[in-house]
Amino acid sequence: MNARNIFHATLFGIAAMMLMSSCSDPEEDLDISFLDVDSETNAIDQWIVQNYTNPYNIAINYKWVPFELATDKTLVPVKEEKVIPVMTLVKQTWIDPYVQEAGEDFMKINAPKQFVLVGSPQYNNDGTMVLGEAESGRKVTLFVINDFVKTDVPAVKQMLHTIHHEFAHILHQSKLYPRNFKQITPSGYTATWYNTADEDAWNLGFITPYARASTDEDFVEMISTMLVEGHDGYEAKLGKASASGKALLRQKEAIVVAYFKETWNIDFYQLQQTTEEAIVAATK
Amino acid sequence: MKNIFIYIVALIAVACQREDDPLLMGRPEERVEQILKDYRQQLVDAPSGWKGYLFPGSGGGYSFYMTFSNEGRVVMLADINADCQVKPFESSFRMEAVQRPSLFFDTYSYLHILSDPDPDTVGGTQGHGMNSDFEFAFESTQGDTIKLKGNQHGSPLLLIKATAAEGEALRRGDLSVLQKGIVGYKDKNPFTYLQSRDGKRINTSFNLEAKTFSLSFKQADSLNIQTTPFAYTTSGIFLQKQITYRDVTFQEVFYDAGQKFYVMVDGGRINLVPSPDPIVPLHLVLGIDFTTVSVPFEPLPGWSPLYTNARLAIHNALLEKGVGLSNIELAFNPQNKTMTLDVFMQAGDGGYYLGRYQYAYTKSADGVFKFTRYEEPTGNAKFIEEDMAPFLFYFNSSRFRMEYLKTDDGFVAQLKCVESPSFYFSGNFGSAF
Repeated sequence: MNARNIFHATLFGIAAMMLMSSCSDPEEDLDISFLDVDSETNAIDQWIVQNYTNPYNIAINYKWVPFELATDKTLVPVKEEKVIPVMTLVKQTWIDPYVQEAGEDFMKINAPKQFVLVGSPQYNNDGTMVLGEAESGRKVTLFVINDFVKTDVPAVKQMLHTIHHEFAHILHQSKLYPRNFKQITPSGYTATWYNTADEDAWNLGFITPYARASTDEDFVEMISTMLVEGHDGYEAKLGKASASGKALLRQKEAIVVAYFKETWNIDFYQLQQTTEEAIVAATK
Repeated sequence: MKNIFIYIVALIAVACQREDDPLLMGRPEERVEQILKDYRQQLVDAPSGWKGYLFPGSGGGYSFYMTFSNEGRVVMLADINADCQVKPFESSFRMEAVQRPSLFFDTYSYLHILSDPDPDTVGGTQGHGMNSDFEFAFESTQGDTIKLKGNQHGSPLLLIKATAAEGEALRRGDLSVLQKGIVGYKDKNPFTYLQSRDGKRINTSFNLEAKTFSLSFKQADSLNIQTTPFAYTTSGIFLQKQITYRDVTFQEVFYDAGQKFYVMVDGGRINLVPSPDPIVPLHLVLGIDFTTVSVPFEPLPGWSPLYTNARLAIHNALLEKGVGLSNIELAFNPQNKTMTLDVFMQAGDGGYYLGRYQYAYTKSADGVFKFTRYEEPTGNAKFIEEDMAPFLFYFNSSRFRMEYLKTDDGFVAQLKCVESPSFYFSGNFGSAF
């Protein structure tokens, strides 16, 4: 490259820079919302900020946002009157027990950052329905909120099962559970898990039919069942299992307890007791 | 090389010209923001609220009364059920530009009942509800009317500014009063027609269950028909689509205190005339006014001795098997040209059993039905097939005519066997179950 070309290249560079800089406009406001900016925050919004967003940096979408949800499903938004009761109960029976046993920081770091609330269930084409789902450890979607009644313990437990289930996914997605968990019941996993009766699942060494879906689901179903059903509820299920099924479930339980202790420094049985007490208190 | 410099200089000059150019319409996002603000203002600026007519994908129409506030709140009444008609419900709304400027009803309200995928809420199919919407794109506004269209299922929503009097009537619950009035009128006057200027009687039918209105007349051997869903208003019914017969065009059918239906055409009132007799033959309104003929166990006018005897023979034979004969229902599907013959049997404990026979049918221009069994009976139907023979014999081998029969209480459907004129029977319109 001779001197002349270098000169030209430099000139070209300067010109290009001029071209760019000459068109920037420091006063331009690019921050115009496509959303309706006139909406005021109401009491529900303030409650969410105080109880979820400020302490744990969690956002709760209770108003309809179509893009947060499956666009090929028919769903409806929540009834406003359900938002605070549901989220109060969730805080008491999920956040508070973990905070008590693992500390504030644990929840601040690991809690999913977004809850999306949906009024109805989400029906699948095979007749099953989705009660909750989690995405990349960041977002948890809760369905069927419009049917929420605090004192309806089975329904509350079903919802909490979903939350503890999804939160357990987040935990194992950030730090994997020991591989030998996958080798306890390797042949029992199936895509048509929903054809399994509870008793059959227990006898095969699975705590719920859904645990048969995959090893990850198996792992988090163990955690959520043990936490939400409490010690007695869990033991009752094991009591109905066959001897071989029970032995397999005990092996899985041991791995879960060890995982919580070694990976997160949480005494799982203590957490189980705290959660159980919290559920009893919250559903009164 | 020189050329390049000229280009660059020219580029700089051109690229920066924008600064001095007064924009004619503003930037897209500013314009969208302004549009949303304008629409919102329009919704809020209705002191007596809005009448809303929503036509979900599964058919029929629903009436709403909505008042929008500056704080993003909407209060509504609806004619979905008795509660919705009288208890105002408050929820939130917002405006958002998605593909198009849209109105979102973003927390649960009466509107969402129609969309609810849980079939226990209002019916519809599981996972789909009534294929209705609660996010709507603005299509057009004209005077006091805003036309919107659902973003997910495309169901049309029409908002019309209510007058003070209409607002008051809606809050008072006049919608249900009128609805009851129309149901009562329809019971007394099953047949109404419009007298057209060319001397024809144009049949008007109101299917109150499906919430559809039809205008029909006989043309050669078939029925020329226009059908459209409707929603109740405080003064009658509002049709989703305009109905036209020659020079008569209307979108609303009014119902007044004198208990008369009428339409307004060019400022003139044309009454719907109640008729003591059917206006079009029964076989032509199959699938429009009714799909099922239900033959009860208790005798109806229009039964021949031969049928009455057959019914008794069947009943006695079934009693041997521990059940008694209840209704026999003929459920027609005019689209597929099939007819399901359902035999209901009642057991001693009050429970019902069903035997089902499947027929395909053809219909001649003058209304003669020929049935052909297309599936061998199974289950209960097979179990009682021999007992049912005195009845099924005619369906398996003969043709039938179906006609109106006037009784003291109104009308029933009468089926007459063509080959065996002494075999005829009648049934009520609509399933008894």
